[in-house]
Amino acid sequence: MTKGARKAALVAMAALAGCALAGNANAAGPLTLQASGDATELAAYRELIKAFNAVAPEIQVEFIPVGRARDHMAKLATGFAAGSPPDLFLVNFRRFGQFASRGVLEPLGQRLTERGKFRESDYYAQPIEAFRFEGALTCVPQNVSSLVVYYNVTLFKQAGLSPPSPDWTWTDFQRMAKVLTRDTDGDGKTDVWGFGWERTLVRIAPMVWQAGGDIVDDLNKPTRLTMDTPAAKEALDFLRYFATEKLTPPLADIKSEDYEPRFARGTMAMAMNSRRFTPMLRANAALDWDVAPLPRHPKSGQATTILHSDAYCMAKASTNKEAAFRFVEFAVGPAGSAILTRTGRTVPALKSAALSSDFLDPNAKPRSAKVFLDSIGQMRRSPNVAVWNEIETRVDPLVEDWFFNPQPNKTLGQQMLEATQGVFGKP
Amino acid sequence: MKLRPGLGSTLAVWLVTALFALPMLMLLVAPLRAPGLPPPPHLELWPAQPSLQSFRDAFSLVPLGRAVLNSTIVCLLALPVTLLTASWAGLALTLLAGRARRLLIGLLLLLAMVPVTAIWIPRFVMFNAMGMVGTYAPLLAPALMGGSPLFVLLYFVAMRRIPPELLEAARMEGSGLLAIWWRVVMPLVKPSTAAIALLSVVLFWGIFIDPLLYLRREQQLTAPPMLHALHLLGPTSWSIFLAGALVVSLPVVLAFLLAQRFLWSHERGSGWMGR
Repeated sequence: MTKGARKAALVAMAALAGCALAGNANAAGPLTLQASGDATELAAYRELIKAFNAVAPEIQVEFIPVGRARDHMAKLATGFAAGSPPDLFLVNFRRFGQFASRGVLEPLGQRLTERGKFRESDYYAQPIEAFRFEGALTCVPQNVSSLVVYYNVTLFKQAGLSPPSPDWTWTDFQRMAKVLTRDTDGDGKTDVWGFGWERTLVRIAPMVWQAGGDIVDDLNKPTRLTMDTPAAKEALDFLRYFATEKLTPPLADIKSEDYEPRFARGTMAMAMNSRRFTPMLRANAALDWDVAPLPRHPKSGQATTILHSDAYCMAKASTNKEAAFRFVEFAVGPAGSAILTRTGRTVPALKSAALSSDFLDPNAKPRSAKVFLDSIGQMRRSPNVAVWNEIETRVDPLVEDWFFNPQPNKTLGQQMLEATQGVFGKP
Repeated sequence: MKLRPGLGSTLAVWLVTALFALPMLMLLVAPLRAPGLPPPPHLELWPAQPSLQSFRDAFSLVPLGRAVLNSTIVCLLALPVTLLTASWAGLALTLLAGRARRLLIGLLLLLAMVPVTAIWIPRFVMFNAMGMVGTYAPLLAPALMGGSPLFVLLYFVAMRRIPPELLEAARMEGSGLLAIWWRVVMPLVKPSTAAIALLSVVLFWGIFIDPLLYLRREQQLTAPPMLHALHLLGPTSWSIFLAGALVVSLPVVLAFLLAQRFLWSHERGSGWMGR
């Protein structure tokens, strides 16, 4: 080995060791916050941290951004398993059960209430209830989104349709989708599709509830999915109508371009989505769109939607609890909520922020932003038990298959039961 | 005798090249579409109103410049160590004989088959116990073991084509093992080194899960997680994501261009490509 090569090898080794040493020096001290989201959302968290540092300059916050929720969960699970989780993290209520049930979370509600800056009644009851574990408010909700129908105003006008009314029904929805699905250039191919949605269990749930059924046998202690009941069948038939009547793109088309870009491009008239769709559509100023509540059940008139909510959770193992309490107080308080509200992506869980001009801005789309707030009273939620994440992971691919290509001799409910056999009983 | 390719084969080569170049061409053009516009329904060769706004947005929404710099540092540190350890391991395999060699090759193949997800938690626990979580050490650690079992095998395949007499002659002239490796073996396997260096750049540049699991501060993150955050922006911001993708792809393309002159030279072994 020549002198030069030896030197190069030594430099590389020293650099490796140097990295390790440099990291050790910084490992303790700052408050760590992990969150997932797109670049705009992550930019809002950076702004939140900056605003917090303006009022608490002595607390250094280390932000750990993760793009996809799935990777966020993998990083959290690894961190908890190794005993080095972040001090604080944001998580959806459908995912928080797996941490709460293992006793690795510091219940925040009571401690924050005792400190005097947090009052449960200032927040919408639905997200607060969703983050209770065994009676204790474990994580503090930041937002309270729900499912609504996004519709293209221009396409509605072109088809001669009035915007959906607040009490429109499944029948109205199907009729409108049929009118809106059009071949505009006469080549025999559909150019504008009536409706698109994400084919998942939580998107079906509101329809099942409206039809008088449920998705599980017991919300707090579920032992099985109940998607094989007549009410569930009615909800599934309602959704399958869009595929059988060719009012939604077929599987091959959806695989090449899903419903979100189609709606953003103006070739899909209606889409069922949560508040997270709003910033994407706002980016395209030329698109004229608005939101309507989910259609009601045609017979019962029942209007039900599903809760989507994320909250700040604190790891019990955190050695920075005082700093974490102060950060959460700020983040879910008026100043912090306003910053996140301005991204357009969230419906704030803090009532005063939801009713502020930041959220109900008359100059920003959607014009009917109040629909999100009106839907809060009609919200129900899916279970928040530890295994719920696994249940969704197992059944969602079945929903996709069923919607485009249902099995002739087995209902979706039966398939779901088979796929989740034994999962609810897991510790 | 020099073989001249016929018109048919030349055309075929150009056709295949054009097919492979098309996605790259799209990657060059798509970021010029103004952000906020929905994706074009068909192939767009040039946007109606080209704009560089997507590049500005890509750098302002996430610390992309810092992330590219971090990835570059990781690659620059990992590359020489990978080449060093992979070539040492490859030479060791070449010099071994019989059962021991077969056993080690079997072990290498076995290692290559272990799914990364299966060792996530044990690796994390190990690096955490060593106080290395939050540093680049877990990202660079594979370089200490040849980067990947594949790299070791590639070196072994290249080195076994060197005539054993050559190594024996060097030894008889009094060269030690390190001198044989550096003065005799490495000059003879330059194209393989270039290929492994290129694969190594691709491996360490594109590494996604490790920075996600092991790095803590945003300023430490490498390019792939940042690119992912841009991807999640949604359909009306695809031009921003593709601007980020172009920026992140360029260093790899540059590495390929740099490695080319080594790749096209011939290995002077005694095997199927030998002279």
